[in-house]
Amino acid sequence: MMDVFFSTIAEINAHLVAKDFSAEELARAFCDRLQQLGPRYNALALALPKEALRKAKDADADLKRGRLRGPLQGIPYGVKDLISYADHPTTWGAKPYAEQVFDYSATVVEKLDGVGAVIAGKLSTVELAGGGGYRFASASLTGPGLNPWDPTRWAGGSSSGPAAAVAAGLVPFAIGSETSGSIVTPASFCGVTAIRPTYGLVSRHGAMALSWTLDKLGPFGRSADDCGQILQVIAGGDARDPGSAGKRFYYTPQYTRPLKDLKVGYAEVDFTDRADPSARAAFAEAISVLRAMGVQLMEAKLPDLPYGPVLSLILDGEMASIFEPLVTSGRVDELADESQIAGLKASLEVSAKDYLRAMRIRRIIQQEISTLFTEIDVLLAPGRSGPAPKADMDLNGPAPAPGARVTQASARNTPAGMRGIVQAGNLAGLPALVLPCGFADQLPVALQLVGAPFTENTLLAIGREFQTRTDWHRRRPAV
Amino acid sequence: MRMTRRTLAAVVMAPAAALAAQTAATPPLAQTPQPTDSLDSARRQIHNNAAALARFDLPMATEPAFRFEA
Repeated sequence: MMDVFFSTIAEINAHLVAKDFSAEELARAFCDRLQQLGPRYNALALALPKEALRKAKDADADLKRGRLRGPLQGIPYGVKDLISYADHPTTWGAKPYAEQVFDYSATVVEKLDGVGAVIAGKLSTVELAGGGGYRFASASLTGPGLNPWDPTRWAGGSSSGPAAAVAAGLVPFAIGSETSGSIVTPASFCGVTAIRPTYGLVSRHGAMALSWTLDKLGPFGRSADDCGQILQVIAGGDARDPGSAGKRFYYTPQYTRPLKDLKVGYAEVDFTDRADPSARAAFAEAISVLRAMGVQLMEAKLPDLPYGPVLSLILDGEMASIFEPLVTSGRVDELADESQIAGLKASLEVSAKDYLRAMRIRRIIQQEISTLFTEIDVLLAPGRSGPAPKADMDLNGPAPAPGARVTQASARNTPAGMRGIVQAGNLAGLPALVLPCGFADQLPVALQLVGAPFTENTLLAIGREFQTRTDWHRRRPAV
Repeated sequence: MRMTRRTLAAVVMAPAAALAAQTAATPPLAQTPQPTDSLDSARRQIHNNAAALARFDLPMATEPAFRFEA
């Protein structure tokens, strides 16, 4: 059974259809593993073995009758604990909400349930998805998310549990969320494949709101192919999500333009001077693989715009409106992280004038990005500039971005490249695919491919070809 | 997730010399910030972000984004 823990959805599905093992046996094995190893990485918020076994038996009954519901039938999965599962705690990773129970499940859970996937547990998150700006990785009800590749390292945030659980083979796939980096960062640090979908493609009904205009839900999986299969299931219009784009997604990477026709813009400096020295060799090799695939690599850079301040003000303003009751009740002081508490309190002081100015500049950002995509099909950048930092690192401290050892002075003196691509991508609602691309100091590093809205199939086509030529996504930590 | 917000502000706002001095003077994890320090810092961050955007040349005709994908 050991290899199954690191198998792709297609591989597990083939075993289920061939009746090599039952969905119930599979669910039991994953639930045992999740409960046994999940706490080691602070990845588990709530185990759901009874529900998993019940749903697995349903899947077995359907399989026995030949009622095939697709490749996710009988496949266990986990969801970040800001996604509701009816009648079970949904804590948002935060003490003030530790007893919170919704009487309905999130749309993504309903959709996965509808194709026979088997929920195995809720996975950890940084409290309130880190919206207040946290100082330490320990800003969570479940403790710091630890990295399966080295438990002294951080798993990344805020989707710490989904990334760590997939990396450690505790679930075949998981659903996380991103407002600004919460899928890209943990996927990069944990060496798993993940998609941040286009804004509005996946319903957020039943998920904690942090920023209505920025929040997205997306899958973490073992390959680009897995992520495409999962996205096909969870995407789609939903009247219960006012941000829903009303679009479906069919995973059809075979029908995208030939790779040789795709223009991929990147900045060499992002992979050299601005990258952690330990990661540069892996990044260079990854770029050579992309070049060998035939895509047209060309130098590009993001427009010079204030992505960070715009995103922060929009996030602060929307978060303030959402969490005002938490702050005014005083229960905000129950949060684990002093910086989060302060950030939430201070957010109430964002003025309407400043919020609207940020939203007006956001429009310019969207226009500029849209223009960029008339010349380039895909943007390429490191997922993070280096490997995961220590789990006890001060994230607000003097060191630069987590994982990077590039000094702030040197970073400021290098060309812009794709600096700010996470904020820009989120402000413009762009999809991103994270692909593991090697190791630095025995820790994973990754690429991110960013496309125009609703071009997930293009990103996945590149990702799928990249993963036929490399095996980084197949590597597993010694758990 | 916004773990780089303060870092971003430091990059944008702080002179390199001050950052270098801070690197030398601040032992990692040795000090826990006082709540008032954190709140002041968070307020300052919001102020700095607003100030950064105030410097942006924004045409009067630009309406706020009302669609959230480019």
